[in-house]
Amino acid sequence: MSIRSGRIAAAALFSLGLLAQGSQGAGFVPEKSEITFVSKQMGVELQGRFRKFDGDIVFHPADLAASKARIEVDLASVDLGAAESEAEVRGKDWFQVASFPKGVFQSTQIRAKGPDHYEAVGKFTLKGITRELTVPISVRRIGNQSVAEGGFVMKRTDYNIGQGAWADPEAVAIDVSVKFRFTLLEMPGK
Amino acid sequence: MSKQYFSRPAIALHWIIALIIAVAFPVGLLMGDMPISPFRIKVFVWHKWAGLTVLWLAFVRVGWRASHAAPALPAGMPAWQALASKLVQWLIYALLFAVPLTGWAYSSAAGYGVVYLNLIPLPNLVAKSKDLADQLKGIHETLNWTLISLVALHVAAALKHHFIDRDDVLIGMLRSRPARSE
Repeated sequence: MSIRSGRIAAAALFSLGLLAQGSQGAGFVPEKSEITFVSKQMGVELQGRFRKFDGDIVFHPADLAASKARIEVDLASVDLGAAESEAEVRGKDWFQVASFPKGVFQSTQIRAKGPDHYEAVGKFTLKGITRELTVPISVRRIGNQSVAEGGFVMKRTDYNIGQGAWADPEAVAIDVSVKFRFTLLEMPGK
Repeated sequence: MSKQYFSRPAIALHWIIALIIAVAFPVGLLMGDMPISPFRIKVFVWHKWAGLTVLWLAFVRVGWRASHAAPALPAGMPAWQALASKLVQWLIYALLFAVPLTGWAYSSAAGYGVVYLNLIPLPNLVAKSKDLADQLKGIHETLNWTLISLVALHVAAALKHHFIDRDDVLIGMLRSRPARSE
């Protein structure tokens, strides 16, 4: 699928969960964007998402040097389908939202990896820990909009997520798979 | 002379299933009130594995029973007792399927898949739905109390046969042939 330069948009990003009310964003449509994640408990996959995230995405396929993405996830908006679990995950063993309310991805470079495929390189900060992160992204046209999708697998322990008794990798696996989809706003110019 | 004793496989199946239920039932009663923790996650998963083990053992058991006759009831037993005995036993058999299946469906409706023994991913029996999960939880609990009530009757009857009637009904489920001293 080709992206026509001139009336395009599109973009990149990252992070954890699905979308919605209250999310804001420049360069993308919050209601049509989502950040989800899958964790494993005793071998059982459980899906979660984030209800609220903000960000700023600038994506021009013809000018990747000027393209960039910053996504800020409101960690307290985590949706696990169970209020009890959500309260636990906001607490100090997990996200510790009282001290670290946001998970942030800030791109440093967006590069092409083939037709409609890109890679966003950037800094991912969670719970006060910042690490380099490279995220593959594919961009496709749906109707008259561009949709950027991607994901990555992170080790929760790299960011001190799930400490104390939760460090036990058997109950909740160390690897967490994060997926996102951003419906991009058309961008003028370029 | 009619057979008075169950076969070894029938006896093994009976007691293994009884033992699993004796553990899984109280665990099921208590686990919902446990505070959230890695241990709670494990207990829920172990409870599901226990129930699913009962489910497949129930298939083996009914298959075995269908091909291996149970011992005859003691001569002279009143007809109503013979009927009650059969009724209770077959209701228990039915619940050995219904209780795990409703638990499995409840887990599916609540959005939790099951990977049996952390090896075999099982399909979800129903789609995720909060309303359905609440209903299935109630059904699972009711069937469990029904099962435990029937088991209590079954145990009371076995003890009555052993201590009051002094016949071989209970012995028939404890060993597959008479001890040499008898």
